[in-house]
Amino acid sequence: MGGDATAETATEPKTTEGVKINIRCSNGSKFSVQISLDSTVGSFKDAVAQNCDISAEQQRLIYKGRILKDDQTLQSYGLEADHTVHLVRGFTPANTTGGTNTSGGANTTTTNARGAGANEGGGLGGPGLGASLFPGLGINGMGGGGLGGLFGAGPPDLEQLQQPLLSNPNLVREIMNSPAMQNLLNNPEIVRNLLMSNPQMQELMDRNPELAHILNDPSTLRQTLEATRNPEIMREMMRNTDRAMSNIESSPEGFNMLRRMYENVQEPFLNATTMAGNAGNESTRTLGTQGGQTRSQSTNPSTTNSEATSPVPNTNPLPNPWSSAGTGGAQTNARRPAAGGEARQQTPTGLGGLGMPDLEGMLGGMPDPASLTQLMQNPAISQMMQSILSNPQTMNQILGMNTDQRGMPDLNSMREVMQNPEFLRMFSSPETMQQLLSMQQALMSQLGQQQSTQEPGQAGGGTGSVNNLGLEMLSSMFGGLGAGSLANPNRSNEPPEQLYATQLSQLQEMGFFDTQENIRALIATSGNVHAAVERLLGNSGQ
Amino acid sequence: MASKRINKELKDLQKDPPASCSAGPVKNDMYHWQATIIGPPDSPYAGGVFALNIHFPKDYPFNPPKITFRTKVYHPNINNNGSICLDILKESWSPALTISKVLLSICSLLTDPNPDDPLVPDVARMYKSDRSKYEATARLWTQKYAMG
Repeated sequence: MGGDATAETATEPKTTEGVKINIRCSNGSKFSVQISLDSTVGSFKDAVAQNCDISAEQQRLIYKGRILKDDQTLQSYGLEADHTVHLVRGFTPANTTGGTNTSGGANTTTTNARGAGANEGGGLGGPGLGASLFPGLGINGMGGGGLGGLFGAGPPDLEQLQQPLLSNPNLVREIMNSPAMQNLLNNPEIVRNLLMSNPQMQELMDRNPELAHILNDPSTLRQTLEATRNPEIMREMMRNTDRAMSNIESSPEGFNMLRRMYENVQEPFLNATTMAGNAGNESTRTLGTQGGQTRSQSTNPSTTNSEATSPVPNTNPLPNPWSSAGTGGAQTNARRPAAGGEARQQTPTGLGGLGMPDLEGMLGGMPDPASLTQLMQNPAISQMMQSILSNPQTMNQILGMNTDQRGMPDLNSMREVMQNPEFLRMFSSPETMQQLLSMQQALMSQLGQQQSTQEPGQAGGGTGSVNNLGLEMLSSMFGGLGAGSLANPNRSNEPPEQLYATQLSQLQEMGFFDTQENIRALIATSGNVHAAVERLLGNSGQ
Repeated sequence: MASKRINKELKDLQKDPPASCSAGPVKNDMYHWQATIIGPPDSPYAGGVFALNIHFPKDYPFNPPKITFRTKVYHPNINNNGSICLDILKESWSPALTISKVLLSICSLLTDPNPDDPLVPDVARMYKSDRSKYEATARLWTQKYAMG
């Protein structure tokens, strides 16, 4: 039975000199490695890593239906000359270290951690370019620099606001479908102005006229904006781009053309949209790994293709995510969670997963004067304000959105005021805004003094009612956005088995059979099935 | 006869295996193999490595090998015990088929399930009625069980 095997394999000489082992990648490509059969699998992986873009820690080598273990020798698995080993990219992501990005420092560029001739994954720069024309909008999962990246200097706390939006596609869809947003987006001029107000973007346009042509084409802009609203269209666009790129790659000069496009267009585009928002931010940004493409920032002025893995484990403590933004010195390794499933964000239960940062500050209506001034002086914002205020239809729609607000003046008088050119000029002037702010501060400080003279009980009651009013207003504002009731969070007396019956059955269907564990996860996530699944998977300790 | 044929298949597999499959004997028992299938990239099983057991009958290749999944898979045609509902492993078996071809057929079954002849009716129902949910669950199972 087993004798035949030994009889046949005995004819092949087993040499401990270097023998040729073929490696077959999961995408079908093949290459060979010369190595001694006495070597351990670990050293074999190191040799393989030199020939492909998968680091030794990430490799999973398969031979004769077995996954090879690092401490065993190749001979112990019966590996022989000219045999083929399968190579699969492992689940563990490679560590990437980002260089510190200080405002006065050298220009930071994005390092592409995958070789130009990478064996696996899509074509060169595949997902980045294919996913979206505007990576800075944070559409394609990387989060980019968010709106901050597009507007030159990001509005305060915008990234925090962006996270819950990115992790809740339905909310994004509803926001995008709202009439006011539709009106804004249907005007390609506004979008173009927003993009062009970024100096890096302007420079990019000057260097690449064809890119300017794309951005001047309303249909392209509309298609991209449509993709932000509809994930199916986004996926279709990505598929088409990948297909087109693989076709280009197969032609003789195609690969070089793609590389040039990547270096001349995509990299600067990403830099324009992701770096601009970080310019004034004294903290390291390590962008998440997306589609196997590890992006890390370094102070290296050119785009390198070196492996960005660090041999030394990172021992720097992460900063306190709850501390206020202006905590002085430069923080190293401030980590932004990826927008995908890995970012488990704790959200206030009443908000139904909206996860708004600094809610009390928002409800108190006391914006930070410095940040508001910075916001108002931003050319993109002022331009947007101008276009909104000067367009009667947009104004009417915005005013018509919240007709049920208590304490709001009647719409006609409001409209008259808003269409008064003198008022518009004042409203769009940063100086006026600053004066208004100082008035508001004076008022608030007076109010604070008055409240401090009241009895503690009264003061508590007063602030409570103010906050409740704020909550109710906020809830009616977000009424159409599926944020649930903010003022009255759902606190039911039903047992969780009944309360989460549908979610429990969904989890059962997905193969999570431990009911108690499921209930615990659902309670912790306020009935959010996706978050519960994430939690359960996290608990199972892959 | 059987061992000669099995040896030939093993040699062919070692020299030039299919892109997504690998197989070989457990210890020195030529009638008991283990295999791995790499999740097809255009499927929710992408990135996973699925382990299988293969038992050859004494009269192989005149009877089909018994193949079961050792890794849990969320699929209409693969049940909790790892049994596979595939015609070429039953009534449509032919002596001309090799392990390499069978493993490739299982790969294509992962990419294109057959919900009309299901082994797990619940999964087949979901595959037909809510494809995105099926894919999400299959992806989760792959992440949980096949990416260790």
